[in-house]
Amino acid sequence: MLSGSFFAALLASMFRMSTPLVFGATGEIVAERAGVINIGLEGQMLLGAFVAFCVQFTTGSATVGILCGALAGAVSTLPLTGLGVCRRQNQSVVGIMFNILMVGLTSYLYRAFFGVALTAPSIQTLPALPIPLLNRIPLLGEALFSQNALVYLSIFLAIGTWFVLSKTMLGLRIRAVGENPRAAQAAGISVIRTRLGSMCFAGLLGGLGGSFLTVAYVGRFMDGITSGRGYIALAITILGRWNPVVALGGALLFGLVDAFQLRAQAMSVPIPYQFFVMLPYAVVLLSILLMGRNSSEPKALGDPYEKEGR
Amino acid sequence: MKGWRESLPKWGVILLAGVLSLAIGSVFILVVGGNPLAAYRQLLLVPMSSKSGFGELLTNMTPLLIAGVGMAIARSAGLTNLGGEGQIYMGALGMFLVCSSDLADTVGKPVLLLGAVVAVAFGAFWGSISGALKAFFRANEIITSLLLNYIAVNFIGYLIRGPLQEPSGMVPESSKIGEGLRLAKLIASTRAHTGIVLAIVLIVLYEFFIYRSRVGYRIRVLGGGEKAAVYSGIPIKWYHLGVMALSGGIAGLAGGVELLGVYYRLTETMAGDIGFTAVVVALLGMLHPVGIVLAAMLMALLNTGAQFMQVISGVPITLVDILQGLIVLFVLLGLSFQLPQLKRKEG
Amino acid sequence: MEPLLEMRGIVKRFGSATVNDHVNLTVYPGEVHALLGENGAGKSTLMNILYGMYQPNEGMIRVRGKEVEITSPKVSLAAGIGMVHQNFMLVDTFTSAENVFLMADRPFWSLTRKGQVAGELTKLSEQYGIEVDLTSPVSKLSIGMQQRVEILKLLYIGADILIFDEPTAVLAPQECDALFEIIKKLVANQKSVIFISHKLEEVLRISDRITVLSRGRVVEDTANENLDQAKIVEMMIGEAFRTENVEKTHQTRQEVVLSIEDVCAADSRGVQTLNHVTLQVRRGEILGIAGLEGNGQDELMDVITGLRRCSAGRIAMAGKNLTAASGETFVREGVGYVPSDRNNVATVRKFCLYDNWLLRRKQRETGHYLHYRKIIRDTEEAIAAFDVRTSGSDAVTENLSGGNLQKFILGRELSKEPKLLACSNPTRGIDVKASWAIRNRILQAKEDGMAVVLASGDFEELLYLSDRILVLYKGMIFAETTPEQTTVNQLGSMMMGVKPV
Repeated sequence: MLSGSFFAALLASMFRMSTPLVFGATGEIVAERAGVINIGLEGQMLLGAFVAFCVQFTTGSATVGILCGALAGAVSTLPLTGLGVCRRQNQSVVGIMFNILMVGLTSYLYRAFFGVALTAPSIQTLPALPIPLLNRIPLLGEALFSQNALVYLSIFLAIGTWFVLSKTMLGLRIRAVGENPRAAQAAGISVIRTRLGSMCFAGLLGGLGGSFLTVAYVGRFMDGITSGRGYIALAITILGRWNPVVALGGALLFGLVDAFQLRAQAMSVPIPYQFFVMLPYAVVLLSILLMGRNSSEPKALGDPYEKEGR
Repeated sequence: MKGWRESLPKWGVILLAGVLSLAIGSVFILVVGGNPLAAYRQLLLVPMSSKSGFGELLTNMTPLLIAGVGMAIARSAGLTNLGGEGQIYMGALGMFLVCSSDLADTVGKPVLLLGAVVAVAFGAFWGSISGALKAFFRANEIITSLLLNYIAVNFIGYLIRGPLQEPSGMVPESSKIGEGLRLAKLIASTRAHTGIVLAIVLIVLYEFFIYRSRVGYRIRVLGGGEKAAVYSGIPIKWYHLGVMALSGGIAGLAGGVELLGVYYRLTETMAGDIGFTAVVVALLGMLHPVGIVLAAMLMALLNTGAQFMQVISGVPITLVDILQGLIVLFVLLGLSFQLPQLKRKEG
Repeated sequence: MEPLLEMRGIVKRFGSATVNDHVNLTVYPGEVHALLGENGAGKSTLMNILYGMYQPNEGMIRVRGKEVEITSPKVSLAAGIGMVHQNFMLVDTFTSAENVFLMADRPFWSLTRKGQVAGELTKLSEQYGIEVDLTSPVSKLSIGMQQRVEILKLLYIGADILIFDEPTAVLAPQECDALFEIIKKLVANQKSVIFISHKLEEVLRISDRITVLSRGRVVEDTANENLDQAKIVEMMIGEAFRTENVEKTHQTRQEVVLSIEDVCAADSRGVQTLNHVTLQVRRGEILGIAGLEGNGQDELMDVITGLRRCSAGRIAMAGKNLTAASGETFVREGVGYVPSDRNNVATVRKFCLYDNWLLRRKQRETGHYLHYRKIIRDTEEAIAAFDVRTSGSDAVTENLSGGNLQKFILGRELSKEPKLLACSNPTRGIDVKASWAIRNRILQAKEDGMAVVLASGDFEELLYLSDRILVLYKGMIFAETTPEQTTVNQLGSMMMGVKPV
């Protein structure tokens, strides 16, 4: 059972299971580094999944589908930023209501467009895109370098975001806005615009993460397909201490647990499968507990900000 | 200079938000080829105009009101409990265990008191996990309470396929509790039950607890800001823990009442969206007792009417989620213009 | 000579209040221009307009003869205007170099090359004699050093007009001297400085020209010649000002109320900032605590009021051991506290006044069931007794001005008849009249037999009110003195760890 091919398949599955979380957590980190807590991530992923599915279903193009899914995620953050940042409402409350709205919206429109069919409509999932040469590396070649384009993109974006946040002017400004918005404003940075942009980026990546679920993983859409992945990505943001590369590690850990539990379900172990389904959620909760508190949280996270305030 | 913003009262904002949400909702109804006027008639008026509809309205309202009180207590302390679903399941489990025990056969109806205590305890335990993580590990209670829902649902799923499954082993649900233990019907030939009385008692207690008692006052201070709470001598960690436990306990009670009044057995779907809708109820009711009752009534009305609407007009039931989300977001938008405007800085 | 900056006919209204009423201000290159006025006279508003934080309703601003519309701090910075804010605008977790670099007008994709900045900064700091540690996070720097980072930030982007908003409020006298040296070098290099301060002797010492604001209008614009403090005060409040002093006695009684021994405590970052402090406070005594910000006085005040647990040592109130007691126990044992943060600590901003009246009250006073009719009556009595100007006991707390809110808070704390009253910067940012009302109330409390601990950054207040003064330096008691034995300058030296000769 612990043969090389089992291991490679497990790791390959790990990368696939973690991809939506890598997207989601990377986007969330940017939003939170700018001081906005984006509880609406779950809703953005759900919307991205739905839009990508619909667009690919009608146009037949996965690329157009993914692009539209990402775009929908980005655009959907505008009302969130409007209420939570410009109008200074409680960002968590706004995010929760947004998620309820998105559950309703996607489910409603799915029924409106596709009706209630006996066989659910499906699309072709994204083909694997093996990277020449690299895919011949034993174990890793099969596990990592024979994946589809979105898997590569997610890892690239996580590392790229880390670089931008820690090494560039843009990153410095985003972090300043999340740590001390008044100081940022005094330095001539527009707090509102920075937060708007960061939220759009978070939505864009949330949309990509959602698109992955329908376009690259399941090939179908169903109500609540994200099943809490947006919230798990929020938890991974904390585990990753607001660093995209550390969060990438956290997402992979979760992906590994998820991949393992799927396989364990299939094997005839005398443990009821529900316990395996619980496992990833329990692991995230437990890791929050073990990691304990930490001080890298952006200081102004979730604080309402008034331009002409005291 | 007093603009229209300040003069618009709170209820005006809510009314306006409702009208706007319905207007946007009608676009969605048109998308599926429905007639908005007819659909809204079924959504909003039909449940009020028939005995069965009204009974269904009360049935739906009962758990929303009870759990809504739980969510409102958490919000008063500045916490958001998204774990209502899991807490409801745990409460229902607690009630079921008591009602299906040997004790229930010998004692009869008074065992329900014990059942209620156990239901509250189970819900409180589930809520206190998030509370403890918040208090001692500073973990965001929104995330942890939500993740706990998945664990609770799967745990119930296991129980009703395993140790607690009904004897024939055909369907994933438990056997029913004894008829003598079920709550009496409020309106004959409907599902409405006497649990609503408990809900009303609870909302009165809520008013006294949150707005008239010292502990409730301190919960509100905590909701107003942690620094002021420390200043006031409030042990905030224990309050975080206690409030989440209380909030979860009351949600657990809602689960127990659902079991006694509606389902009589454990199922995998009994909590439905009650946990989330209860958060909407608390927010839309602005933590005010009367507001919570009205909000619970409105949400129950939407949930009830949606079934008529789906059957008669073919408009998918999930229109209700859209309306719920929109109405609260519009209320928040409207109230944001009512907040005290910028004050001048001294100096 | 051509003026560097002209503000003409500036009007700013907030709602119905006119905070700046046709204000003119002209600043020439190479001059220190002082801006004076009581709290609420409109100085900060005027400067926030100049800095692009607020938009004026009327008026125009000319820089180097050219009209500019300052719509944001960015525009202001580009026009060469920079501000050293009272609360420093620094990102705590960044290093000094990163904070400076944040100001740079570079494309967003450019890399933050730290070495390159460091070179430029070293050159600047040599030119103006500004010593700064560039590599540590700002939170680790002393207050004086943080202020120098602020100045460096502005020089780095080439600001010609530097606004200093009460720069000496948080500094020791000796640090002030260093600041004044820097300011002199700035104007020698043809920069202009707008200097806002309450401390008149400083203003007379450093400024070339003085503009006095009162109730939003310019009442005086004059060169700094033949002026003295009395004349300026007269300009500011339009009448000769006398303080109504309460007769001060030194009849300290013998009963010890608070006694702490060997107490250590850590701040919110976990750094131990209070080291083995031992002190006693008796009935009818005001114990003054002097110390520069960050030398442990905040932690000391929090420890003796139960807001923070001490990590070592013993605390006793009237003989009762409170070392490991909860915050609630301190409340029950009669410890009143007027903390320095009025808006977030001492009150809940969104509550109305009568709800805030209940804050930090022991259970025996309120009972388990709250009787609001009585609570409202008590609140209204206190509002009247302490001359709190407000629309009523149901007013939302955040709508009160600082002075009125502070009078309300002091009234509330005194109404509990505490055995010990702790006050932290009770008059910071409050206008002269309200300040004296508050000081006199504190003296009255002492006369009534309360034990009072007063931590204040205002030396004159400390010397005026205290019976004894303890100087904290690096979390330890550095010296003990009395107002009779010491002067403002000696106090300043001791706060920086120098024993006066």
